Amino acid sequence: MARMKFLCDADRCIECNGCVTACKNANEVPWGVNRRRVVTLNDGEPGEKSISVACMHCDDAPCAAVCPTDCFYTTTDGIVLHDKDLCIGCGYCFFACPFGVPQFPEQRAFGSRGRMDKCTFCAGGPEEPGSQAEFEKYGANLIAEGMLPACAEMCATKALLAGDGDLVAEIFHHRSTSRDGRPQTWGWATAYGAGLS
Amino acid sequence: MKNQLKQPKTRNALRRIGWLTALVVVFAMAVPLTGYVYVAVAQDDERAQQSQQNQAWSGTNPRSEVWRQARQSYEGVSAVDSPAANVLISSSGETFRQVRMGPVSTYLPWFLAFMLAAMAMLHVFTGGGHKLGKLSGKRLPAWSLFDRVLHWYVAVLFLVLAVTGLSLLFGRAVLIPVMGPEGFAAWARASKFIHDWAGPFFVVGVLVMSVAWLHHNKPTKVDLHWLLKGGAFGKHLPAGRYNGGQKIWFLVNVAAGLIVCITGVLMLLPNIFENRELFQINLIVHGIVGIAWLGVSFAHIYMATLGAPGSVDITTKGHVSSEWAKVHRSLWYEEVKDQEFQAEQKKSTAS
Ligand code: HEM
Ligand code: SF4
Ligand code: SF4
Repeated sequence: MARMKFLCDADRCIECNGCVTACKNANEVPWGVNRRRVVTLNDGEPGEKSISVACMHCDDAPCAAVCPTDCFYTTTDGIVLHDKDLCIGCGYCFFACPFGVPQFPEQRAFGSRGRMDKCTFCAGGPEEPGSQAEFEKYGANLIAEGMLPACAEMCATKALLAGDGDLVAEIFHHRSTSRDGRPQTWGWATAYGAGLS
Repeated sequence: MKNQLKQPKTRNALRRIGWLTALVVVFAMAVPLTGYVYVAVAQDDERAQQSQQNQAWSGTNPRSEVWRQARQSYEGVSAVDSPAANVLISSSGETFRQVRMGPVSTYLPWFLAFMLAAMAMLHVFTGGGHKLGKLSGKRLPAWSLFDRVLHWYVAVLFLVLAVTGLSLLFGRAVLIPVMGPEGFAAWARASKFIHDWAGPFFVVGVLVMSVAWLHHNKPTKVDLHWLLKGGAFGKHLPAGRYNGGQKIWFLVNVAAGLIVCITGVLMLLPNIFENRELFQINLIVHGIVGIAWLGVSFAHIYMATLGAPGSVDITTKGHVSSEWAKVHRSLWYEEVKDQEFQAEQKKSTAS
């Protein structure tokens, strides 16, 4: 079975936020909820790098481990989804997720946050695939239609890759090794130092 | 004629313009290409430097630096404006998960079980509290209406908070198999709602209690004697109005109350206080201290019911039988019996 993965090529991402927009458009998420975001490190300095991040669909997901109602599940494609009917909006998943992924439509006193929303790898949720109910709760189910997540499809520089983890890794491997002027990104010498063998 | 003379001239001019244009076009296309030559030369230089660097293994890979920063929770910039959006990776999330699902979920239930078992053992080995036998009807006034209301206000909220809080932490393991995922989700949602709203009322109760009952909870030598000689294990040692065990229970309430209430309130106000690390620490500390407090409360509950029959009257009726006071609070009994009996007598004849 494929294991679906995202990968953002920091050498290509130009912080255009096209992926963020594509995601909002495809999934019609509410105001204030962003399933994907672009983070720029060392902004404005030489060597600044931008990286687009959303749910990493962790193998052993911290969000799922702490959820009081155990509402997460992993699909056979390795996509981590959750059931909004079971979610109580406690926010624990947000505090456990290393990538700050889970989002909440409200931020009010007395801990009322509304039900959690997060990146679904455009794979909908636990409703009839393609149904109106699924769309309203979880957004698009492009995977069921044989497509890939809207963000990666949109990416103009093809920095953001999505799909079977092995394929994505292969593409990135090819890119890294054939990238001109960057011999230091890959290979034995990079990993262990040229003096060591 | 004029026309014939002019013709070659215009043709020449046109030809010149044509050549010039071609020249400009060629230049326009060629000049930028020199950039490639420059880049190639520069890259050769860079490569030469790099290979030297690689040989000496001194250079740091600029890309690896970026990923190192990402891994170490460097703050960047993001167009998305939500909590912690500008941090790529925060390991504390995984730490929070491991602590909560590891030691917290393992040892706290054992502690509760230990306290329950300890009370059961105490009951079996001491044969239960002193049976008062037939009561004379003489009684000592103990608690005002204010004290009694305060006690049950705090106690009921305490139990409600304990049940709902425990549901959030252990319901997944204990209640989902019983209630099913949907049933438990409904209960968990109610639990969260009740816990969130009961919390602030409880905070007020604990604060009032800590102040109102401070004056009679000062430790004395008698308390020390009571504690060291095993007053808590069923021996009837001299004690004043409150014994050493009760004063410790009061102290536990003030200390645990402070910690549980502060961490609880911090978690309730997401806009003001909540950040990821603070919430993670708060929830862990809140859970540990809250459940430890609950465990200690088992001792209080046992002592006030099976451990010393008759005690509950103080919190419900406000007075207690003189037989009870003689056994459990000998010093207090000696101190107040005469005046209080008379006062009581007057009251009961008057009414
Ligand atoms: C008898 C006292 C209390 C006990 C035994 C208790 C116990 C607990 C427990 C076990 C949890 C779940 C921890 C976890 O899932 O890791 C919890 C959560 C929480 N408690 Fe308490 N608690 C008490 C009092 C309070 C008070 C006084 C407040 C607030 C003023 C409060 C506010 C909270 C909040 C905000 C949460 C997070 C749950 C949420 O809102 O989603 N608690 N408590
Ligand atoms: S929400 Fe966070 S913890 Fe959960 S699978 Fe996605 S990246 Fe992992
Ligand atoms: S907010 Fe919802 S999904 Fe997240 S841990 Fe709480 S109940 Fe689970």
